[in-house]
Amino acid sequence: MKFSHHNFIQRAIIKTINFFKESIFAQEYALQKGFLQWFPPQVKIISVLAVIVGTLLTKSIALLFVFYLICLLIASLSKIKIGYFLKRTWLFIPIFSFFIALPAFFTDFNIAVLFVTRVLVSTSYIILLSLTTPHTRLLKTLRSFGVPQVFVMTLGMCYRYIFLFAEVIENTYLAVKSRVGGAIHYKHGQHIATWRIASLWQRSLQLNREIYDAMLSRGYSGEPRVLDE
Amino acid sequence: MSKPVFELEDLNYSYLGKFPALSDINLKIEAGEKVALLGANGTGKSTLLHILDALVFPDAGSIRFSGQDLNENVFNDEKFSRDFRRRVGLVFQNPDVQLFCPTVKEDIVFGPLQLGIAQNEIKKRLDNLVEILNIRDLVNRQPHQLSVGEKKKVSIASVLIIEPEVLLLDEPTAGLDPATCRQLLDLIDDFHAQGRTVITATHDLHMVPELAEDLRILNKERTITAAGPCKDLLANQDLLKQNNLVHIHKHRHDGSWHKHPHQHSPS
Repeated sequence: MKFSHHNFIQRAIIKTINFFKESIFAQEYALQKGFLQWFPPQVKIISVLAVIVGTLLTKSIALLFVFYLICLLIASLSKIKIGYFLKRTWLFIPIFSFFIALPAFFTDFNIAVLFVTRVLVSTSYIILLSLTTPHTRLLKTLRSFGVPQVFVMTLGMCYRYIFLFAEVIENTYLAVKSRVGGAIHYKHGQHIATWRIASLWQRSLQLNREIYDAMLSRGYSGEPRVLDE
Repeated sequence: MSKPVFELEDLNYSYLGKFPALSDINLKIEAGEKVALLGANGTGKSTLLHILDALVFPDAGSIRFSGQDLNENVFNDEKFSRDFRRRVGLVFQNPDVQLFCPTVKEDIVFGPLQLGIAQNEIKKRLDNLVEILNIRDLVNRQPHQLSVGEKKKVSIASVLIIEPEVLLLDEPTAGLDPATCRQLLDLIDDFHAQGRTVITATHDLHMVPELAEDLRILNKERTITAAGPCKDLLANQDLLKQNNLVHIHKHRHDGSWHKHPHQHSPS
């Protein structure tokens, strides 16, 4: 789909929605019979945490690149397309590090590279973990590590409703587009986007109340219980 | 003689204390009844179900469940609250509201787990329900991956697993294809055949004869304007017209259009 130079909002909406939809397909990698999928989630979480701690402690950029190459090798052995993996990883790098470290590139180049590389390695391993483990199993594993059930449940609900809101955003966008057509003045577009943000906020509040009612209705009293499996 | 399951007297409820949602509701429902709350959009049916499920409480008037007054204070008693939630189950209109867990299985077992039902018993009930509803292939899926009909089935399963004495249903057949609709109606019938009470809010006249034996009609003043057996009230065309409940069918015969109200019982 091609976008006009002014249509930043349209581009942002479509890209965000596509990102979430891709996340649904990412579950397919978790179900494949690859190298990392073979390990239990507990082992993967502990290993990834160990790599991240190592990444934070080392000051050797060469060692960090070795970590990164190992990550790419494991991704490949786990039947993840390298192009797809790089795209997902590098989406986060500018957000979390590059722009923050940008001024340091002109003052202390090594520190800036070290910072960006650490973020690159850490996010790559986290994404590798999330791609090779169904999120429901990740949540269950968090429970086995003693993370309070209410926290795990809240995380699960966030994940669940992100998809619902992605659908709402997409449908609202299509509904607006069907009425106003493709080409509108950017100022008008900004008004529509503002209205949509407010509307989505209101819907999320309403949904929040209704979900809590649905929980109460089925006996929730503040301390969630789970099935022993 | 046993006490009515629900007894509402001069009940009033408003949103934020200024937008009336229910006015002077008087309602008595006996154990084992199969009742529909029938009304056009905005007549307060869903609000009434929420009051029956003690999710909101009236501004004025009273509501009793098996002779016990329902108010916010009695729900501070954990034993009473748990007992009430075990005995009364509500299926919400929007299944997305009810399916908040990461997997279908976790959603279905959420209620009985919170209510302290033994884990073995829950597993047995789950096994039985997924068989009856034919949803075994859905249990490990995530709710956002389901179709509307599948979501509806799962949300009903999440309440039926509690095995409540009273089942409250909010527009259970809305947006469903005919086959799924039939399956749900049969399920509700089976539930009622076990001697349980079923109270359904709907505006769908087509479904009323299958969903209920008795009717309470709500009007635009948000009060109950008529009560009685389904066949009698559905035959009263004037009453249905006054309450914006008559379907007008438009047909083409021999090249010309003609309109008539849809009949729901032999008149």
